[in-house]
Amino acid sequence: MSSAGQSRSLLRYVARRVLLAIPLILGIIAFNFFLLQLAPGDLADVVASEQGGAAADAGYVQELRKAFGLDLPILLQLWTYLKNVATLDFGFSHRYGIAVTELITARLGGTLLLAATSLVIAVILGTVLGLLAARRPGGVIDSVVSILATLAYSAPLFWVGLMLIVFFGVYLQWLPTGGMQEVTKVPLQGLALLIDRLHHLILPATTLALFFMAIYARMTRASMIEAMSQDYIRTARAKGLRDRRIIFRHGFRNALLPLVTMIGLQAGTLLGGSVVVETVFAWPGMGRLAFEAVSNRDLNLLLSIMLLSSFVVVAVNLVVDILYAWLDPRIEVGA
Amino acid sequence: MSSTSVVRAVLASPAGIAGSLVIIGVLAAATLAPFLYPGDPSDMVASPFIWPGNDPEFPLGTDLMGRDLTAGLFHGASVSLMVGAVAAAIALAIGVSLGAVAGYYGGWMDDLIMRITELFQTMPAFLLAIVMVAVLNPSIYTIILALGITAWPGIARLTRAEVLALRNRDFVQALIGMGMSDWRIVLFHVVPNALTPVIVAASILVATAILSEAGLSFLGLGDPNHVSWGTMIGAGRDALRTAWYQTAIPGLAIMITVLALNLLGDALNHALNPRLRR
Repeated sequence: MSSAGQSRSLLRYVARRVLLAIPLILGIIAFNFFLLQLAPGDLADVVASEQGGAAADAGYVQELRKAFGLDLPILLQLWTYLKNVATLDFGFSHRYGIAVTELITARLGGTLLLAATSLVIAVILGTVLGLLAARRPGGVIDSVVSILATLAYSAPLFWVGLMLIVFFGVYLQWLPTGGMQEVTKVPLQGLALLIDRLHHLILPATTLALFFMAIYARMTRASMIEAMSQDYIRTARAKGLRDRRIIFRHGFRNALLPLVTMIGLQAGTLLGGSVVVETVFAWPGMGRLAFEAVSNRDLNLLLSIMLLSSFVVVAVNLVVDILYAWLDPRIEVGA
Repeated sequence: MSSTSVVRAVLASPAGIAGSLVIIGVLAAATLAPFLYPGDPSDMVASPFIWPGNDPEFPLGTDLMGRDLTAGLFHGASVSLMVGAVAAAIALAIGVSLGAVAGYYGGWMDDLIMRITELFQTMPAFLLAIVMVAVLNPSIYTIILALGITAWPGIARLTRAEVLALRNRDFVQALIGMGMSDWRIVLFHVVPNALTPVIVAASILVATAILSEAGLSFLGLGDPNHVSWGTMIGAGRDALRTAWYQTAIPGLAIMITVLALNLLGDALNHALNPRLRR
C-alpha cells in the first residue's frame, strides 16, 4: 500500500471512530438527565427553599417550575438539556450563584495538571520497575517489585495521601501538606513560582500515580517477558547485537503497545481518583469541586462534572485508538 | 475441576493461604463484633486521644471523640464485608445475565447490550458512584446499589466472550436440537461452563467495592448510622497532625483486607486457569 493510501485509510478510520463516539455521548447525556430526575424534589423546590418562607407558597413554586420549563413534557426537557450541553451550557449552580461552566473552567486546569503529572510519573516509574523486574523473572528485584505493586493497589488512595502528609509534611516537614501554592509569602514569580508549584505537586501527584504505577509495572513486566521470548529477539541475539539494544529497540518497542491501550482505559479511573486525592490535599481542581458539590447537595454541578469527565474519557480513548493504529500499522484500520 | 480440588490448589500457594487466613479473620471479627463489643461503636466510652497500647481496656486507643477504635474496627469489618459482597453479587448478577444474553443471542440484542456496556464503561465509575449516592441520598443500600451498578461492565464483557466461544460447541448445538428452551440451555449449561474467569474476577470485585465504599464514606457519603473503616479514616483526619494513629489503623485494616482478596484472586486464577498451571 502506498503511503498516500495508508494515510487516507487512517483518515477514514479516524472519521469512523469520531462518528461512533457521537451516539455514546448522546447516551451519556440522556443517562445523566434521567439520573437527575431521580433526585427527590426538583430545581424549583431547591430555589424556593433557599428563599426561605416562599417554600410554603405552592403558587410560587408552580411559577418557578414554569419559569424553568419543568412543567413541560419530560422528553421536551431532555431535548432542551441536550441543546444546552451541545453549546457547553451546563446550567446554573444555585449554591454558588454562577454558571456551572464558569466554575468548571476555573478548576479544570488544576485537575489536568495533577492528572498529567501523575500519569507521567506512573508511566515512567511503572515501566522502569517493570523492565527491571522482567530482566530476571523470579529474582529478588522481580519479587520486590511484585510485592510493592500488590501493596500499592490494595491501599485506599486517600489513605496513602494522608499517611504521606503525616510523614513528609508533618514529621519531616519537607513538603507542603495542601493547596497549590504558598499563600503566606509575597506573590511569587517566574522560577520561584514554578518551584513552589512543583513543591506542592509532588505529594498529590505521587499519591494519584501510585495505583497506576503498580499496574504499569505489572503490565510492562508481563509483556516484556512475552516479547523477549519471541523469535525476533533470538534473531537479534544471533546477529550479535548488544543486550541494551535488544531490550530497548526490539523488546520494549513491542511491549509498549498494550501500555498505550491501558492509558486510555484508565483515564476514567484517574478522574475518579482525583476526587479523593484533591480532597485530601485541598488541591483546587474539579475533583475538589465535586466534593464541594456533594457536601452542598449541588446536584446539577455534580452531574456536569461527571458529564465533562465522560467527555474527557471519550476523547482520550479516541486519541489512544488513533495513536495505536498509527504506532502499529498491522492493525486493520479499514476494518 | 471439583470444588475440593480448587480449595486444595488455592491452599497450595503461600499467597492463597495468607489470603484465606486474613479473610477468615475479618469474617470472624465481623461475626464476633456484636458479642465482644455490644452497643453502638459510635458511643463515647473513654477519654479521647488514648494512644494505642496505653490502656489495656482500649488496645488500639480512642479517637478524638473518645470512641473505642477496636470496637469500631470490629463493627466496621461487617460493614465493609457486607458492602463488598453484596455489591459484587449485584454486579455479577447484572454482568453475567447481560453478558450471557448478548453472547448467546448475538445480533441486535448483542449490539444493544454492548452499547449500554460501553456507556457504563465510559462514565468514570467512582464519579458515577458518587453522583448516584448523592442523588439517591446516602445510606448503606444506595451505596451498595451504586457500587454494584458501576461495577458490572467488566463482568458482562468477560461472560459474553466466554459464552460466545461456548455457543457453537457441539453440546450446545445438541441441546438446541433436542428442543430445550433457550433459557434452560443458558442457565444450566452455558453459564456454569463460562463461570471460571468470572469467579476469579469476583474476588477482585469485592476488593474494589470495599475500597470504593471507604472512598465514599471518607467523602462524607457514608451511611451515618453505620461505622465503617472509611468513616473512621474521615473522622481521624481531623486529628491527623497530632494523632495519626486514628487514621492509620482503619486504613491498615482496609489495606490488609483488600490485599488478602487480591492474593486470593491470584491464587484462584492460578488454580482455575489451566494455561497458567504448570
